[in-house]
Amino acid sequence: MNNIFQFVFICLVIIMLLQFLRKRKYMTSRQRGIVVFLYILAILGFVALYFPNLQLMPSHYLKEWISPYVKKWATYR
Amino acid sequence: MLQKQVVSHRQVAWLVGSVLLTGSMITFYQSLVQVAKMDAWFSQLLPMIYAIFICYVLMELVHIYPGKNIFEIMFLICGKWFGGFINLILVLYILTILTVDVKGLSFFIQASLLPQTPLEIILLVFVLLLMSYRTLEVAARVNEIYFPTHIIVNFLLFLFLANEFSPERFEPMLSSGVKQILISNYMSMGVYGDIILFGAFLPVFIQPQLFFAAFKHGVIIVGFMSSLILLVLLGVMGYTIASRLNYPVLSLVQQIHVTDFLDRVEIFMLSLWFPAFTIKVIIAYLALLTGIGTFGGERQHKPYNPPVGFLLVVTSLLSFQHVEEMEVFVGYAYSTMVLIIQVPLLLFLFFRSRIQGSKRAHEKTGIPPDNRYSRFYRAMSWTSNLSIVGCLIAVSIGKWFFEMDKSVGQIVVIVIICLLFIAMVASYCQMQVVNHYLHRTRTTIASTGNKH
Repeated sequence: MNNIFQFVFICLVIIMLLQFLRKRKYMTSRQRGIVVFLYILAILGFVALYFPNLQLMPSHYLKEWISPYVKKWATYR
Repeated sequence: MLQKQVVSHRQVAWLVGSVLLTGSMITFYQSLVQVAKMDAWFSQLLPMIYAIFICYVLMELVHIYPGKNIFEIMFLICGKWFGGFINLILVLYILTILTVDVKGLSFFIQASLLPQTPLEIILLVFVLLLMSYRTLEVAARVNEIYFPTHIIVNFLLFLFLANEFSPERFEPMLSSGVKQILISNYMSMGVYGDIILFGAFLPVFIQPQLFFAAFKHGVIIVGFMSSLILLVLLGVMGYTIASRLNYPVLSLVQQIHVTDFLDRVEIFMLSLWFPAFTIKVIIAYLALLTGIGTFGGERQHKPYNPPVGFLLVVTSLLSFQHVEEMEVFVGYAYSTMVLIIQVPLLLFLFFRSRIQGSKRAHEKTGIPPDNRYSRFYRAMSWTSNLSIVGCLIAVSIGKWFFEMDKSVGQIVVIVIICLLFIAMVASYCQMQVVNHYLHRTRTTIASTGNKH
């Protein structure tokens, strides 16, 4: 992903998080906590995009671990 | 919020069709053909049975825990911590489904329509589209327009590709090993397991018997259509080409050369497939919001929409750098992941609902036994079930005899298509008879109430 795009996205998510924290009176504290946690996860994710070799998604490891066995099992005659 | 939604049985059947059929059409068939070669089209039989089992468990839950979704049920049964842990796994599973679909669609759109547009922009626009849908009801109504059109267009594939179709391309049928056929069935189970997404909308399904029949009908439509698409794919391209293409269905549609003026039919087909696929992703997105909302203790999921949208964008960007990675994951790892999560959960919920169900047997809703509706319902239920089992028996017998006579394969093809069609019609009748009974009962109660 383009570095400028990434920076814009991070700024956008931070602005939305701050906006949310300003108007949060209609929610319970647990709901607020979940929303803030999700925003922080999104920001961390965008930061992680600066490191293209970093594999964070579980799907990558599942693919690496499981698919060779299933492939071998499927193609062995 | 969810109880106020009204979704009819037909809409549910078509939603099931959209969820299960459209997702696998991007790249999944390639892996199936790689493994089972010309017998890949037998790969939908066991997954259909598995999906019907999931529907049965979901509808038992509707009966035992009316008005609760699967996340709330897990909290109720397993408590705050263990239930929360299981729900977290379910939420991550749904996020994986979404990531695969959103990234897969972005790759597909970039390869087929918008080669110059950055992947991030396609992905972002698609996620914004998902965020605009708030309820299942709206998605169900939109799906009522696109799903039947998509099915009709799939049937038209036969007509348009009749000049390219050659039965010799999938000969000798049934020559793959039993193991390869079983593994192709195993690989399809992951895609059919996506039906568990409807667990997030259980409060909408107020009549368990009617909605079980609707789910079953949807699953059988998908089994029938997927088998036919695979049959056409193999008949037009043969397994060697089909197993090497990244987007086999797109390439199949590109083979349409009916006349000189009917050019680029795939653009028209894509414009019908895309909304049907979007509905599938919307269902998964709403299920994810519902799951996250349950952790907050309320069904109101509006506040989670912006952060979850951003999270979906970033997880899609972080996962699968190339389309081949996604193909390997969906083809060879996804089913294992799905079965590891779903099978223990479903067995646990099944036995739990059986135990609870025996205590609440007197509260059973639906058609009472020993009336003409009930007899017809049972007859249709048996017909559809036996038709699916008949398909399995036909494949087994065909496999047994194919070395004696090579024409057995062609007979098996005809038998299976007929049996799947019978199953589809019988499941439709099964759904309609419950609907007629409930409609009649409601009318009778209303007229009695007016007299009093």
